[in-house]
Amino acid sequence: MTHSIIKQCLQKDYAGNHLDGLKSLWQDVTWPSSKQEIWRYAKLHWLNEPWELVAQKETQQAYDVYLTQYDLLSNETDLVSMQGKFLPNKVDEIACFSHGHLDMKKVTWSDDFFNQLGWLGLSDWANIEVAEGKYLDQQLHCILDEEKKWQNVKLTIHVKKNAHLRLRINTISAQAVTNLSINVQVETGGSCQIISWASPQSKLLMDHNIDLKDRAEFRYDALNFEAAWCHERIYMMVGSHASAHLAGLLLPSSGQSDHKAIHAHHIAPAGQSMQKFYSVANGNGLAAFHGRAIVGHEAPKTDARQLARALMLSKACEVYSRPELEIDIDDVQCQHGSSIGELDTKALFYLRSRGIDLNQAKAMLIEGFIEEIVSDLDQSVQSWIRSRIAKHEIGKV
Amino acid sequence: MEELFEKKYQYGFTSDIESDSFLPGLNEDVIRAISARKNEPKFLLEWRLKAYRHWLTMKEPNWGKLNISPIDYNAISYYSAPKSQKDRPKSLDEVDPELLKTYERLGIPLHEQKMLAGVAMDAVFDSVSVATTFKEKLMDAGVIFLPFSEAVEKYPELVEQYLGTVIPYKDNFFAALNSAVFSDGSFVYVPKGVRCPMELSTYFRINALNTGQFERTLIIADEGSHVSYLEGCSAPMRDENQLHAAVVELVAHKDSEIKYSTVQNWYPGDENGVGGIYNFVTKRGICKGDRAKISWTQVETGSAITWKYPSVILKGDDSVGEFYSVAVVNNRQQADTGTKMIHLGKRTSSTIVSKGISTGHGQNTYRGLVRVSPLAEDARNHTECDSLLLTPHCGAHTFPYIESKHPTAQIEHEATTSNISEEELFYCRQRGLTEEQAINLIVNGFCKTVFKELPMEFAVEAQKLMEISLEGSVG
Amino acid sequence: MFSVSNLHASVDDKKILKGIEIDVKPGEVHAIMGPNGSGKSTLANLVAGKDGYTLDEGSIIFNGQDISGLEPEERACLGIFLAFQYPVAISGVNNMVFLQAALNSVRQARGELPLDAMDAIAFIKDRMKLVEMKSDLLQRSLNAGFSGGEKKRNEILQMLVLEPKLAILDETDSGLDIDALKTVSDGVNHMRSPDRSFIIVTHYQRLLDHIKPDFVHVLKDGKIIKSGNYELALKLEKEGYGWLDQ
Repeated sequence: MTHSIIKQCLQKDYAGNHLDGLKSLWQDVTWPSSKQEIWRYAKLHWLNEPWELVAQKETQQAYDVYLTQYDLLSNETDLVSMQGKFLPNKVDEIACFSHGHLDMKKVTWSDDFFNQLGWLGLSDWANIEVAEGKYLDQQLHCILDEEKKWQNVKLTIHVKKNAHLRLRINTISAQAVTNLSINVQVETGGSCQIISWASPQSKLLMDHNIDLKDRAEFRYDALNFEAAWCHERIYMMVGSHASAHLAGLLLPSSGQSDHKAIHAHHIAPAGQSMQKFYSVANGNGLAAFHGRAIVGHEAPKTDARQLARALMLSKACEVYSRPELEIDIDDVQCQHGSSIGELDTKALFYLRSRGIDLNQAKAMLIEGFIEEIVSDLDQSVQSWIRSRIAKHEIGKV
Repeated sequence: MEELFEKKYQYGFTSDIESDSFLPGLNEDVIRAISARKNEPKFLLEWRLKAYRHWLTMKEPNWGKLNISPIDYNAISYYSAPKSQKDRPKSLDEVDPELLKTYERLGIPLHEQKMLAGVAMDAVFDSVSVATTFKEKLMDAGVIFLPFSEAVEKYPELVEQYLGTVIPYKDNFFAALNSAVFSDGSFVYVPKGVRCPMELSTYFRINALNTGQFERTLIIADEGSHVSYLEGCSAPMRDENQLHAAVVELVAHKDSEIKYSTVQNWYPGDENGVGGIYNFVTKRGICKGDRAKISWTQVETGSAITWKYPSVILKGDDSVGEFYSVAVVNNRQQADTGTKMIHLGKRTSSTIVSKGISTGHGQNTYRGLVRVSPLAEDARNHTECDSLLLTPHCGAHTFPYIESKHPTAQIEHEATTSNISEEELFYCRQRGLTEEQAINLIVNGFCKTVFKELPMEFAVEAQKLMEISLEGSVG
Repeated sequence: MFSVSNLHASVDDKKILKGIEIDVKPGEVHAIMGPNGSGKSTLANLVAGKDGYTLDEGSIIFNGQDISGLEPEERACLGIFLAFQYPVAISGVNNMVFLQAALNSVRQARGELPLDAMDAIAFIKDRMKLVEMKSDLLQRSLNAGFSGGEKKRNEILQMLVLEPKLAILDETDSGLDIDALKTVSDGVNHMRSPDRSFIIVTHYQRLLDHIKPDFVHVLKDGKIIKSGNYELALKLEKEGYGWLDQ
């Protein structure tokens, strides 16, 4: 059922046509000429649509941009094969029938935060089920077979009544493309929190379906500081009195891109959803936010919000923002805001006039910008991010 | 070509220039015939044909959040001269009384009512003389304001120079169709340094009132000039044609300013959404020179389906684009409207204020693009986009597209969705206002920022119009 | 001129008022006091005809007419005015435009000709002097961004402009400083006349120092448990509501 709704929602997407229309809009506008650039545009728009549609479009011969895109991807999908063997794996509180490929291969990865707990390696698929009233705090690493160029990872999460799950996922895929899909179902009164971190140089395609029943809570923190590219699509159904908070800090710099496509679909009364994404684009990095809140006729008293802010630090970077609202009932509270800009020149001057050198002043302002979202993220990652910023590992000018 | 007039002949009429219509259907012969009727120069015919050939390769856009029943383009007659006097109602007694009631409430004078309802009129007629003095005044200032077809005859080189430069015939499906078959419309040229002495209104373009379904307007403001153009009329106009695909192109040269205001109140269909006009319009202006300014203001209350995005291409440095819009949907109306602000020049700035009001089962969509190109240093945009929902079954949707390729750009977008709360209504009613008065008051307050952009008398009409449009929307 | 008898009312199926009797003669000022949650505001809203307040039993008679079935605006046009405890802010709606619309609506009901914008402004500005309101508040959105005191002054201004026959002040004194309190009571005292009545709903006695009531009623658990004159208000202030239970 979920799938058909997604299809319904996405089928009407106009991204392709919009692109077409713009092309003819004005000849003075330099349109992407190089293949690389077409790639970027395609990536940006393609993720709005399910695979089937992309395939359909190929037959229609109508979307040359899509075609290019699809060729590249289909070459890669051919390389996918199933991982051979799964080891059943039991973690304390998981009332589980968890099939995960447990791989203790040492990964060149050392970081305080992500080594707090023993981690579970995931290279193919896993089901996590948290039994009624139980609590689980788990960390997962997506680990890839070194020979592969493409890896599908599928994770199914079922949080039962009044159960709680906190999951930290990071993806290690310097060589290959990781195609990670997470299906989450949170039952009445349960809560689920996922913190995902795209590791450096990783190439990620993510596709998540979230189903929140009555009074369920969901938090998702997306962190992408150094991934090569990350394209993530989240489709979420919000039940009655359920609340969802999706936040992200995205720092694409040269050669990197991050695209978030999020649909928060309110299907019952009095749900809440917040989409709050902050990006800092540098070099020729690309940040794109395409959020949508859909409030159906059956969802009065919904409170749906979106906030997308972006900071542009360089001449060559690009930022796209599409915070969308689709509302079919009058008794709702919906808001969205978006702002894009460079560092505040007045503030820069003020700091410099107090004797702070330019780079330091810039760093301070970037930190200030990032802080607005960091303080909104899960407690456990806040200090970790702040320390990385302090060490200038991320958020560099 | 003869067979085009077959129908008329069939019934034994002589084909007289005043009243003929083409048989439904579209092909190159039809286009040649249209062009021939209008004695058009060769370049225009060629252009129409190119547009037609391209149109054949295109598909209707389907990305709007609209539910459109299929249109049979071969069932449309692409040329019909204005109705002759004898085909028109003889007097207001023959006109739909509902329509007259609305005219009355809008306070439209009797002779104007006649004109709007298409009543046959004497050659000597109040407004004609008004229009004549009006024309003289414009002539003194050097402003050209003509029906499009007349401009083609008198100033072919101007038309050739500018036609299709803002909206190329390939632009989109409906623009291509319009380019191929456009009937008539307005042409305005304001020479260098001239401030047009009055608001130009389609209303005065009496002889071209029946421009049909494929209107084409071209307005050129030369360096340092200024013009304000009013399109449409708050009075509901009946029209037999379902599909309206107009094209409006604005060209603003250095230091010039064009202000384009629209009040659109085409027939929206009945409560169940039967009948009603499809209004698929392409409107775009270009700020060609430095410091040019284009401002669109629209109040949209009519049409069954509205699909339009009055846009500005900000090419000149320091140029300014503005878009102010109020769109009301009631019953089964659908509107997908907004703007595109394309920032190309340095220090260009744009403002977007969109107010959508949905009631009944109406579906209202704001769709707006703000694009800052890599060359547009210090571009600024501020967008404000508010929706008001009055009934449980209506819809309000917001689809902004924000694209920035220059770090110095500052783009802000804000949107809210609200309804009228019980508390607000009770408060007003406790002070003696009826529910309807209270809603009108609140709605007018909601639209204030847009209404104040309209020329004075237009704003008053627009307010009255809103009240009529929202009628029966009280729960 | 105004009386309620055996008034029972409920909100969301919860019984709030359980048999209230009040009789207000022309020119009288009645104060209704009582602890929080006793039903004071319910009574005020019920009389004004707010949705969601259900009259279960009894009647509300105003000038010989049972008004309990009337719409809020019909009651307002008959001359019932409610000064709200929490006036709503309506952004975008100009205060002056609102006042003029309300004034003309009420005037029309009284059989008077509507005032045009110029006359209305002159009339309203004249009344504004009495409440010492800054004139720029007229050009602002209705109650939007007004301070607590400004909102209450605006309520009193509306009362002065609409000239009701019965004014109900619902906790108008709450959150007011002494100057604003003085202004509000000056406004009310200015309006007192032999054919105009007031019902002042309040928790404290301090407003009653400025507007001397003819009668004081104590409302508790949806019933009037004690009635008296101004002395009763003083006693309540000194001794609280506790002694009434004994």
